[in-house]
Amino acid sequence: MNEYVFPIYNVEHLTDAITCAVNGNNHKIESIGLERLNLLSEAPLKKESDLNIDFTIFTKAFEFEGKIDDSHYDREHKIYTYQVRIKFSNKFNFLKWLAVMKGIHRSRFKT
Amino acid sequence: MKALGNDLLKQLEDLLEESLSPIEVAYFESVDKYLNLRCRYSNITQYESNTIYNPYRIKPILRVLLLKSEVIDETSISEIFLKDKKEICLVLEYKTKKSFFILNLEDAKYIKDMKLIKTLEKNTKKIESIFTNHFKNEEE
Repeated sequence: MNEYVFPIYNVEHLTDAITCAVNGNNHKIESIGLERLNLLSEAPLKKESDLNIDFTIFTKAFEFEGKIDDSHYDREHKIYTYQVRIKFSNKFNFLKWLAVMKGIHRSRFKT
Repeated sequence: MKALGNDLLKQLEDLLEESLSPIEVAYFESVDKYLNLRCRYSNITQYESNTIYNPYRIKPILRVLLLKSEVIDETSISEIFLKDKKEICLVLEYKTKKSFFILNLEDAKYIKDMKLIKTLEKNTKKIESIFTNHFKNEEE
C-alpha cells in the first residue's frame, strides 16, 4: 500500500472552518482527502508514533488514527508539512467523512 | 457504431462463457488526477456514455477503490454496500490512465458468482484489450 487511491483537495481557503488537533496540539491543514491529510507544523513530529487526530470541518467533528507517510521541511518558512495516512475504525464516522469528501468534490467539479 | 457496440458485447459474452446474456456492462476512464471518470461505453441504464462522473457517485467503483485504499476495514465496506451487490467492478488499469469495467450481475444465470469473478480476474487483460481495440476501431 504505497500509493494513495483517492484525490486530495486543497483546503487552505477553509482555514476558518477547519480545526485539527494531533495528539492534543493544534495544527493547520493544507489539504485533505478520503484517506489522508497534509498538515503543517512548526515543530517536528515523531514519525513512528500513532497520531490521534481530532478534526472538525464546518460543524462536523471526527476522530481518527493517523500515521505519517512522508514529510517535508520548508526552510524559508520554517515549517514542516506532514503527509498523514488516516484510518477509520468507526463505520459511521467514516460515512460522515465520505459525505464531506463528496461535498468538496461536487463543489469543485459539478460532476 | 451500433455494429461495433454489438461486436464488443459479443466478445465479452464469449469471454464469460455466455453466463450473462444479454450482457450489461459499462467502461470508465479517468480524465484527471481528481479521478473524474468519463463513461466511454455503457448499456447499463444508470450510466450514460460520454458523461463525466465523480468517483464517489459510482458505487461499484467506489467500493473497489475503498478496498484498495484500506481506509476502513473490509467488513465495514461490505456492510456499507450490502444492498449494492448487483454490479461488480473490475480495475482494468491503475497506473497512468485508470480504467474500470462494471458488470451488471442481476441476470447472471449459469455461473456462480465466485466462478464468474475468477473468470473476470483471469481475463482482466483481455477485457482491457477488447475495450481498447473497440475505441481504436471506432476512432479510425
